[in-house]
Formats: sequence, C-alpha cells, structure tokens
Amino acid sequence: MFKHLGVVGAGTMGSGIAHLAVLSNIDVLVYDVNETVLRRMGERIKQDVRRLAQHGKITPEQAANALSLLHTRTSVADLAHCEFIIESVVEDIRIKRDLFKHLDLNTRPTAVLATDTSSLSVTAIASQARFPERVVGMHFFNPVATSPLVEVVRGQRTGSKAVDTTMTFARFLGKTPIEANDTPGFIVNRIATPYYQEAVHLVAEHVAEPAQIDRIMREIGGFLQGPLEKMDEDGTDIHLEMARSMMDQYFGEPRFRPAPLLRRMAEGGMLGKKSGQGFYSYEKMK
Amino acid sequence: MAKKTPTASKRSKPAKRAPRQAPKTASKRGVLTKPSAVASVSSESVLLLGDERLVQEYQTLLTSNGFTVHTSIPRTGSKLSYAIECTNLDRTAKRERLTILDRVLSPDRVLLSSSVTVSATEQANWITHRNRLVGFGILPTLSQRPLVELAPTIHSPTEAVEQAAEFFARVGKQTEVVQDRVGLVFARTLCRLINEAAFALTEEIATPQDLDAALKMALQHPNGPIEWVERIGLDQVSALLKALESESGDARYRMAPLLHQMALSGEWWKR
Repeated sequence: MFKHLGVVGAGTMGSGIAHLAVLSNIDVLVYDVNETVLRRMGERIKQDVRRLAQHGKITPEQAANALSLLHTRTSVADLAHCEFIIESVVEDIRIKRDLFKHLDLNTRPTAVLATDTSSLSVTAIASQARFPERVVGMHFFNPVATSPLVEVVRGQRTGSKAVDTTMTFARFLGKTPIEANDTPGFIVNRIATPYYQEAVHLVAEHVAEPAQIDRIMREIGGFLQGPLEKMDEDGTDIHLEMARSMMDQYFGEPRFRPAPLLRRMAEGGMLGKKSGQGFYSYEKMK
Repeated sequence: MAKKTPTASKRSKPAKRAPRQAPKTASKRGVLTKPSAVASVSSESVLLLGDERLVQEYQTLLTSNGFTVHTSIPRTGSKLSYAIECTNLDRTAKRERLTILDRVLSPDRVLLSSSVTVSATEQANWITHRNRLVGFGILPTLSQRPLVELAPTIHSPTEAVEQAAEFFARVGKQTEVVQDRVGLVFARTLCRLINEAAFALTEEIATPQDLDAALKMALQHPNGPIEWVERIGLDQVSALLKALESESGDARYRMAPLLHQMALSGEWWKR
C-alpha cells in the first residue's frame, strides 16, 4: 500500500477516513481551510485513538504510532507528494470541480484522486482535470469507523488503474468495496430513496402512524430499523436533499420525487434526532 | 354480525348485535366447556382458498396451531369457524373464491381476505355480507412472522376486527390495524425497493449480487432487493406493482421493464 494519504476536508467523513487510515499505519495529511475545524478534528481523533488503547483494542505503542502519523495542513500545496488523495468537502459541484482541477495541476500525475461524494456525478467532478482517468469515487458510509461498505465509483472517464487502487485501498482499511457505475445515487442511495419516500407518503396519507410503519417493517420484514426511525437518525433534510438531487439528475423522474411532507418537515426544522423532533419526538431524552 | 351497518366507521362503538349463534356452532366458548381442552381446541375448522403458495403456507401455520384446515369446500355438516381468502394474483379468481366463502361461512363470522392487491372496501362490494369482510396482508415466506396487518373497511363493525385479531392471536400473531389501501404498509414499501433495484440492474450500475451485498452492508437490510424478489416471487411483486399503479395512477409505481419481462418469461436474472 502507498505511504502518504491526503484528505481534503476535516468534517465528519474526512476525519473518519483519516482516523481509519492512521490506524492502518498510513501517513495522513489532512487539509482544510478552517483551522478551528482542523484542531477539533485532531482532538477528536486523539480522544478516539486513546479510548481504543484504554479498552485494549490496540496497544499503547500502536496508539502513539497512529497519532504520530496524523498531520494537519492549511495549504493544499502540501498534499503535492501524496500518492492517494480523497476529498470530502461540501456537496457543491462547482467547489468540487474547481478543487479537482487544482489537485490535478498540483499533484504528481500518478496519484489517484478520489471523491467521497454521495450524490454528485464523479464524471462531472472530473471534468476539469487534465487526467480524468485518475479521478474515482470512493463513497464511505456513516459511521465511517464501523460501516463495512465502500462504493467505488467508476466515472465515464475513470481508468481501471484508479478503480483497482481504490478497491485495494478500501480492503486495506478493512472495508468491503463494491464497484458501481456513475449513475445518480450510485447503489445504496439510489435503491433506498424510493423506499424511504414511500414510507413518508404512507404517513402523509394517514395509512398508518410512524410507529406502526416502523414496527410493521421490523416485525414483518425483519428489518433492523424501520424507514422512519432511520430517516430521523440520518436527518430528514439529508433525505430530502438526496431525493431532490436524484430527481433533478433524472430530469424529474417521479420515482425519486420527494414526498411533500418531507419538505414541510425539513422547512419546519423537524430534522429528526439532531433537532429533537422528526417523525418522533426526542425531547424527553435530553 | 348484522347485515347492514349503514356507514359504521371502524373506530365507532360496536352496535349491539345478536349473539353468535350460540350452542350449535363450535365456537371457542362452547368447546372450552368440554373436559379435554387441549384436544378440543383443535376442532375448529377453517376454509382456505387462494394462491397456491399462500394457501400452503397458511395451511401449515393453521394446522400447527390446532385448526382443521380445508382447502376446498367441506361437505355439509362441518361447521366453519373462519374463512380466509388469500389470492393476490388473479382478480377474477379472487372474486369467485370470495363469493364461495361468503356463501358457506355463517354471516356472523369474520371473512378474512388478503387486501394486498385489491382494497378490502372494493372486495366487500363483491359479496352479500359485506360488513364482515376484513382485509389483511399476506405475501409468500412471511407466514411465520409475529405480526400481521389488518385493514378493516368502512363497513367493518368492531366485532369483525376483534374476531380477526382474536384469530391471528391464536396463530401467534399480533395485529396492526392500518387504513384500507392497496399494498397496505409492508408490501407497498418493499415493492418500491425491489422495483428500483430492477431499474438499477437495467442500467447496469452493478451486478445483482453486488446490489444485494451493498444494501445489506450499508443499511443492515435482512435481504437484498434481488433476494427479496426470490423470496416473495416475481408473480406477486408484479401483481402488486400493477395494482398500485392502476389504483393510484401514479407513475412512481411503473414497473421496471426488466421485471415485467422476467415476470412474463418466468425467468430470473442469473449471471
């Protein structure tokens, strides 16, 4: 495996990936424009790694080694020597396209450039790069530490070498990579979106109460979680955006049309667990 | 059950009705007065008609819970406690079977009918004793699950819903009462997942095996979408999607051409 990983963006996903990589003995450079975000990420990873050592999951030496491999940078030029760079900045096509144009110009041409986008097109993100064949999707799932799946996305112009390297890298991190073509939502978000939206339609049409719907899916189908409690956990705004983005990319395909109730909830601040109210109320738990 | 309950909503209080034809029927109460309770509980008989797979599964379930199960009209003299219609595939056949069940089952007993592809309200209009029809959810391979969906119609008196719940309790199932809409909750939600997976396969996003693996890993689903089709059966999934599309007129239920072709050819994708 390569020695130096570059991570662009120190948010939830970026720090999760950095955490995984240092534990796998890879030298990680995390770049973010915001120093506060970088510092917070460093503290969080330090805490998490020390906790692993306290619980005996890793030795104190492994913990010390992992933390010595984590570096933060506020200049993107410092990533120039990385062999693999993964980006998880805000889901905005213009920002990502510009970032990849910049990375393409300022890194060694053999480096693989990966994007952790969940809803944008890998092909579009690669469009301004001189070498689009090295741009690939590497979609992690939340929580990065425990979720076993990584979708490796082959854009229209992605080369086999970039795909192979990314598959190997995912396995090296202990994940199970699955290759997917570059269509809106890739595999999981694509297939699950109509399922989630249908559950919201059922609530809106008063076919059953949210608790009934979740119970029916668990008890009859054997699902670990019902769709509505899962949406509350992920955030109703996230699910609204996902469906909206897929409907746009499919030019108004009705299968992805968000349920109007979901928009009402997101607009009204009923975002799920994180706001204390979604399909269920979480006020008592505070 | 009275023959006419003008527009009794299912949530309204039950009207007082004539007691169940007491001594002659092999009702639970009558049977329990006999000395050997264990053996005699089993004497209640059920008439079961419908899709072959569903009839087989329910026959196993009911027999193991002590019911005597008939899958064709029993000879005169055997008194039925329950009648269950479980056809999802063929509307015409369903109507014929329901008419038979309505004729042979005493009017004071609940008539349970699958309302997965035809609403219970529509079915109630096919029969004479429409008040006693209560819809329920049934799909292949789920007969051992601990819960079942019940869909009373606008005509169903509380007593009918109670009889239905009591019946399912005796085969080890809890009930969840939902509104009478085609597909109920489970079938309707699940078929959206399956249909989208079929569209994704058409676009060759990934292999069928990878689709299944991805959903199971990322969302901890018990089966991947392709495995769901193999469990439930293409014929049932196809009937369900068609029913949802024609009932709602909404294009979001439009069946993936791949599913349609496979349903016609009787083949499933294997690579």
